[in-house]
Amino acid sequence: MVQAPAPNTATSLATLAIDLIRKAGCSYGEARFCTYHVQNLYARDRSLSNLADNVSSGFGVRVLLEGAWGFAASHRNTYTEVERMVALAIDIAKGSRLSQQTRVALAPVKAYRARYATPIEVDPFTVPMEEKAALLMQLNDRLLSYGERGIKKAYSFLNFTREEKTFASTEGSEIQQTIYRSYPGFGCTAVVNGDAQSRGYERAPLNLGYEHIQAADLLSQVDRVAEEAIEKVHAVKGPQDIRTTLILKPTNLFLTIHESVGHPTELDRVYGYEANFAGTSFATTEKQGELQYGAPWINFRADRTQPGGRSTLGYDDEGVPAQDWHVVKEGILVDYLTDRETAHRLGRATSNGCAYADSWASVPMVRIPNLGLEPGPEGGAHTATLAQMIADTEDGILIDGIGSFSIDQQRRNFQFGGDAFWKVEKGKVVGMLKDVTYQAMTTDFWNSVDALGPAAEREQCGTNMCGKGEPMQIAQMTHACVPVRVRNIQIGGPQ
Amino acid sequence: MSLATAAATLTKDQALSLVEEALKHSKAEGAFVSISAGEESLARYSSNQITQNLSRTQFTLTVTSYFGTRHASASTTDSDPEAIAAVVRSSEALARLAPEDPEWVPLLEPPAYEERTPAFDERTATLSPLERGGMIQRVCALSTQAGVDGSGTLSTEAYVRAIGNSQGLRAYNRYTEADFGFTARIEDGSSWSQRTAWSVDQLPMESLTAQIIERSLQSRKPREVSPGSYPVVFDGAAFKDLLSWLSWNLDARAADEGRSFMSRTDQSDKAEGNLLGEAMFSPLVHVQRNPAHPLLQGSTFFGDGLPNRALDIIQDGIPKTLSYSRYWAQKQGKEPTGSISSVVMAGTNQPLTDLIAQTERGILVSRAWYVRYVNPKTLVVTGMTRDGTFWIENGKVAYPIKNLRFNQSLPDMFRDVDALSTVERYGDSVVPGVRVKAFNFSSVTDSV
Repeated sequence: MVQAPAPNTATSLATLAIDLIRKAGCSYGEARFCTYHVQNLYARDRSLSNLADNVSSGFGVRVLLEGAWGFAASHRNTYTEVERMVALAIDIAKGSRLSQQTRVALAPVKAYRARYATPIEVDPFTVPMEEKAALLMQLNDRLLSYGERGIKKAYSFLNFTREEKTFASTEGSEIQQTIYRSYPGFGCTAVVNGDAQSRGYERAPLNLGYEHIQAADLLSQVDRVAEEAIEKVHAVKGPQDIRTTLILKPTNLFLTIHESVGHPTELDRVYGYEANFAGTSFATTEKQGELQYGAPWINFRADRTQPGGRSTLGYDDEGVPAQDWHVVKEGILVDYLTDRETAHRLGRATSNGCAYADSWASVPMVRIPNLGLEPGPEGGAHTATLAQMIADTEDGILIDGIGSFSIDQQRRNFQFGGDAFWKVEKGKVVGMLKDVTYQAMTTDFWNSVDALGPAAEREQCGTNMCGKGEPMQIAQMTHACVPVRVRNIQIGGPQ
Repeated sequence: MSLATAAATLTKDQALSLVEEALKHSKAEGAFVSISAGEESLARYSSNQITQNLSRTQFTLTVTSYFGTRHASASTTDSDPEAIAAVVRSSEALARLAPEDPEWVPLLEPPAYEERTPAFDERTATLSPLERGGMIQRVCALSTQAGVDGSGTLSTEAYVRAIGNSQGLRAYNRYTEADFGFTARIEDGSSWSQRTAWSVDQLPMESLTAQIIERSLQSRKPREVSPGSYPVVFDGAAFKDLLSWLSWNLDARAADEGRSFMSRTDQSDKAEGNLLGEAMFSPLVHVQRNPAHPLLQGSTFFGDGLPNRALDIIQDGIPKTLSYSRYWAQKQGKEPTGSISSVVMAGTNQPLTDLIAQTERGILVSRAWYVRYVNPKTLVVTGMTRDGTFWIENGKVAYPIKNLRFNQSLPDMFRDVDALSTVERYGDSVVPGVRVKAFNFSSVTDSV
């Protein structure tokens, strides 16, 4: 039995865990003590069907024993349980060692003693619940007021999270972070003539306080969203099996970036760690510095320091500081997304800080950070505003929002839909379409981009629902981007 | 002080005493309490060695408080009495602020649950890290010996679920689950499968490993087949991921409101009820919810307290029921069903190889990947084949082919089922392999 200090705080428990890991002779160890306070409100039609305030608290310890990993986690934040979990993690590492052929080694990281908190203006947990509930009921009431014209379903939601994490490692780090997240949105479904079509609006998930909710903005979009749902359900179906020009708004493009650039450049996928589930990658390491991922005016930049970004924080879940770097520069694949283990395998001097665990009970793994498409430079030959792209397009389709999405396990063949589609003819938007999908191969697609929006049209879109890993973990990230125009893309296909 | 000493060993008395503890603190007009606890272990391996290996002890107690039609919930992972009292207060404070709910239903009166004990296998619940490591070591050794890159998972879980409400409802289940997944990759070939059981000893780890290694060797040097419509034989593991999309879309409310492939429309295309009772699918399609199936032996109740008992979903190709929530059932004058899970589709005595032998030309699909809606109203989905796609010629697997994207109406697919194989358990479903007369592929990929 280890004599533990009196105060039963995350810091003292983490210190105990690190002492025990060191004494056991592990080459590396870390402890994360986390408390997640999550508030979810969801309204369906005129019912606030979910009003929940959830707190999840616990810790995980990860050890590296003779080059083999072990991880154990518990919801009981006690000294006794810390001792039990450290011992269990070591036993698990001994089990891992049985099949070990190559010892795990980690890229180095400095020891940090630091604190980080998401800068926010209004703590979402201090805003009265009545105000939040009333906003959702007002949104749904107004959407359902279009009932005579076919709007039969409405939904709206507010999600808030405060994550408090204490990280300590055998390398001397002790990092405390408080991360706030906010996310509002709504949508509706028009049911007319045997068809049902939906339309939605969201303020993208961001690491901000209640100031992100912007009730006036949400309410100002209701009439447009309802009208577009009605127009969409009456619209003609999109063309099938043709090739055409696409103009993609950031609200649609972010998911294409996520799937076709984010996931293939996760270095654990490249090395086969996800082969059984999420898949591997076509962007293998011998292509680094060589692969023409996109047109020369395409730049993808990862940035965990971006204000408001959903994966913005001070340090990742291995204690590596937040950084920014190019993944694709002037169209060429130049770097990957790493944790310390994969960074070492690649021969990098350090990790670029993409380790993330979605809970105290989850193992940190490589996750897509904030990863954005850089705007076209002012006056650039391929820079155009959305309006200029439309005006300059003889025949094409404009897409807003996300819909269907699917991509193969090595991230080549993808097919995406959208939330709203408009036909573009002779430089003008001429009316809505429905049931449109576009399909392409990743590098063909990004090499076919012929116009990029300027910095003024950059939007911080993103997702809070990125699944990966076994057991499945859900990560969250921002893909700030500008509108693009892409030539000669397959629409629909044999059905 | 913690009331529980270990989540996975929460006995019925211990779990229900925590439920009582919460209900004792309730000052609401009604309260519902649920406990979800468990011990889960999972090892992942890749390149023939373990890359991630975890165990976790989890506990969540959730309280939903009711004042008239107002309600809200709060949860905690702390089982201390003070924490339980605090979470009750929190849910009550929120419920008092909630708006009146027009979809409120009264608290459930204690239902009659099945007199059945879900499967709980002590060895699965207590499998040691060294035993788990040893089992994977053997899979990795077989992979190394065959020259393939083996990756996958081996997991074991022991769950406890307990619920109670202020109307006197009390229920408790504990059960175990084990799962093995394996992928073998070599050159431009790949193969995968998965099995789930309530006992780790029921997992056919070594035989499945040998089978998947053999299929990976056969999958090398794939040829390209043009996209189009072909007869397809689906391995059960692949079919399960398509059947899931059908079962998730059997919601009565969506159907009755005109938002589902099960919606009925009148002559003027106005939504008018649902298509229950219509012969929509092949007469070979029989689907049940059957948590008592010998391969499942799952829970006797759902998280909201409704009984989880056998339910005929599709008989002879005719949909017999949809999923009715308590609110929608009350509104439509139906019995609430609970969700459609523990899905069991009837198979036959013939192995998958017989289906192949009976196929003149077609495609064998081993895995369906990244399946997503194209049109949620018509239930057209897209997805990819993966990990072993083969051309069938004259009743034999002729050669491997490159992976294909599909865009397919699932109602059409289930209409076109013309042969079934034996069943296996995958996740919480028991399904056969199937053959369909026509399945639509739209593009090819070089991805392996």
